[in-house]
Amino acid sequence: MTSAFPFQHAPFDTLSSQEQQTVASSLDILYFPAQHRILQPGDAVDQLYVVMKGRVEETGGPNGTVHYSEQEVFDSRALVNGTAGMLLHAAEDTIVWQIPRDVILDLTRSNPRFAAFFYDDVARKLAELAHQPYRQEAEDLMLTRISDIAYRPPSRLDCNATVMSAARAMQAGHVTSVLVEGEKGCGIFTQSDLRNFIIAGLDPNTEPVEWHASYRLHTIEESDYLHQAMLLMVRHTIQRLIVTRRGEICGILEQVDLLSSLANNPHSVGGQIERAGSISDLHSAAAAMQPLTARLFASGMKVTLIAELMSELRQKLLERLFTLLAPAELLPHVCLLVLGSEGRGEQILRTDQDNALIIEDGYQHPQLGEICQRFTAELLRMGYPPCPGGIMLSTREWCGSVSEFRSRIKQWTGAPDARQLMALAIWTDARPICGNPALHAGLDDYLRRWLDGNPAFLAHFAWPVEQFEPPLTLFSRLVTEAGDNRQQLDLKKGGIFPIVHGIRSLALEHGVRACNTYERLQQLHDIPTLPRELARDLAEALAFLQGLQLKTGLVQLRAGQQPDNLIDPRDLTTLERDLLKDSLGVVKRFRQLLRHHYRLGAL
Amino acid sequence: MRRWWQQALLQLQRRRLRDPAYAYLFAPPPAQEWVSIDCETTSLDPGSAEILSIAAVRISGNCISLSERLELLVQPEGAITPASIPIHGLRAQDVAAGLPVREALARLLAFIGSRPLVGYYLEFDLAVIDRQLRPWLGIGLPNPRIDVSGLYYDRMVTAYHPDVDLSLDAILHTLQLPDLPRHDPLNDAILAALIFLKLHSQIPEPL
Repeated sequence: MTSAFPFQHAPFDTLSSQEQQTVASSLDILYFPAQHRILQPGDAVDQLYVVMKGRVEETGGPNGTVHYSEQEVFDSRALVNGTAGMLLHAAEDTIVWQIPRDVILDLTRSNPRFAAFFYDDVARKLAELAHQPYRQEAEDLMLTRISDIAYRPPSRLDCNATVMSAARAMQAGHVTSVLVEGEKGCGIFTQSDLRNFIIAGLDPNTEPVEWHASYRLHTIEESDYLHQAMLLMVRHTIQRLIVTRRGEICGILEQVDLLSSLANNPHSVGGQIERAGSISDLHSAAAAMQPLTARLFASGMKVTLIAELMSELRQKLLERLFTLLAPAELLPHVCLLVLGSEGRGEQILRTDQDNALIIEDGYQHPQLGEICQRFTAELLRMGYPPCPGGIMLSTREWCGSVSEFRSRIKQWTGAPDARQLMALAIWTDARPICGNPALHAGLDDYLRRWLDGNPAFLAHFAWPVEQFEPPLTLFSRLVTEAGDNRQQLDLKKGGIFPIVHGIRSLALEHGVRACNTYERLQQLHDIPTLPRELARDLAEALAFLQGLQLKTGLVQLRAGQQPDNLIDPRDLTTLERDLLKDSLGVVKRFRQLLRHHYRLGAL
Repeated sequence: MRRWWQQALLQLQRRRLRDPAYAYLFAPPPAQEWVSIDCETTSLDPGSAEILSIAAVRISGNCISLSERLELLVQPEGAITPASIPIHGLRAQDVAAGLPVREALARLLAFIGSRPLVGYYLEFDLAVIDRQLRPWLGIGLPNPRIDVSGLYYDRMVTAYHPDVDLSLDAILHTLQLPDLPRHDPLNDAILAALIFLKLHSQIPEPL
């Protein structure tokens, strides 16, 4: 029996074999026919459920409808609360495991890693972030002690303060609560107390605040863990805790502080990059980025947001590296670009180097050649593999003067073979990150002017979307023809590339200057060629495909492999498979539209 | 008519019961409860096979109470047919620590009480159990029996499709039930229980 329970999946993979035994011996199995109710708001909850087969739908939550498919766990928040907050029912015939509440709570006490996983799940629900079922990497964060994060010092008032002065103190200190030293001891007066006070219609200038404070304080020691604080907040449905140091009140921990301790982390990597005084400082910042990606993904952050954040961090890293290498007097005469997916801000996991340098016409610097070589070499040492297409500062083709780039643009547009077209495509995604952006803008203008006079070229440019068929049959079955055993499908070729390149072509045609595909989609939404619904579907399909790409990439990296964009549909949950089919269906529709629009059949 | 006949048969068995301590087998069963059962045996001949292991799980309502399962190893009196060892994976030394058959059956009876029994090709397993019970109690198991392959046949058979594939693989596939490693009596009992729950219509309160 133990062999069938998903002990290999989070959070159960943190359990020792003895703890697994405890869980295995306490399991029961429940069967719910399609449409039958599993939990409804107000039900007492004394089990945690894990889907064995089928699909469970959750409605009435802040995220709209949420689905749980095989091996997923629900409802951790209800378990901690003891009552269900949402309606859960079987979307299809569903079999679930159930684990008694006491067993789970015992495990959270005895196994801190399990506790961290578990409370992180609760935290995620609290934060109302996009639900993204995935194994979590946040244990180290949840194992942070309260003393490690920025809680606030308390604002104190004495016993004869009025409600008005309490409100003023809140405003002055940008806080949502104040402590009152009154006859009954120490109490807390919060924004919601203030709201109730106003509704009651009393006079704030005369009423002493101590009459309206609450004296049941929930406290937590500074040396306790974040997840314990989380648990207390959930259990008592409160927004803040009083932090104590050896019993003495020393601060207030707001739910916001707690949640932002998850989100604040990128800034610390960002700060590390900004403060870096040497190249070796940058190396350690670069090393911290990949675990951060995994952690953000695990905390349920949307893939598009992660991509934006990580691109920003990587661009900062490149910029800092370049300014560390190049003397300041050189910067106004050059422009460092990131290209391709990095330029679009859609590169989540670090992959190839895609960068270029434009040099002002006629400008010369004795160290320039050496700087470019070292830039590429340092990136290589930070783990950025060299670009197979040679799109790096160290190659002649991607490091040149303005007029050299101008003749290269002529070359790319002159002989539209696949290689030239891809070079142009990568160029159109370029984003200047360091030096003088006017150098890039001038070249971009040059390209756009040329295109205005040669509209027929766009059909050639769009043509590569025809190259790869989306791996979906007429009858909506997934086609697995990639990989060693032909059991996999290529997410990038079959799904992501056609969307990205098609949108790139339309953006070029309509003079949209944004680099990011989502931004391009937004700016293209009023053109007659692209119906608004399709534009929205494309954005969602792309977000899903990129999420899947990130997820498989993380798994491969953890296994010590290079991410290769290949996925085996059998590894997906039923829900993911359905979404994948839907997304590829959208890609198909979009390709048809492009074929018609650019008359690609006639080429 | 049939009910009357069953009642009469039950009365007869009750009179034949040698040990009054087991009269609870004839008590009215608790509502909405069943026991799914599976055995591994020394051979496939119901006339001579001996029990090697027994697994039983209680079903109440829509819940398979796995946490209160019964899993017993039984020490056979004779030898295990060598050909059957690869199937169930139990060698003589594996069951050497098992219970004597009578003690194992006593615990099984206490576990199932008068609840109806559920299983996949239950007939064989119960034939082996009954053969061991009769010399001791004077009767076989009096509990009502529900064979899930029979339930499945009734559900699937039509005039156009008189042949129904009753293999466990086919049933699990058609009913979209998960598969578990087979020839482990507990897993087999769970699978039978799942098939039963899926085919048995009285599940409480739809949405």
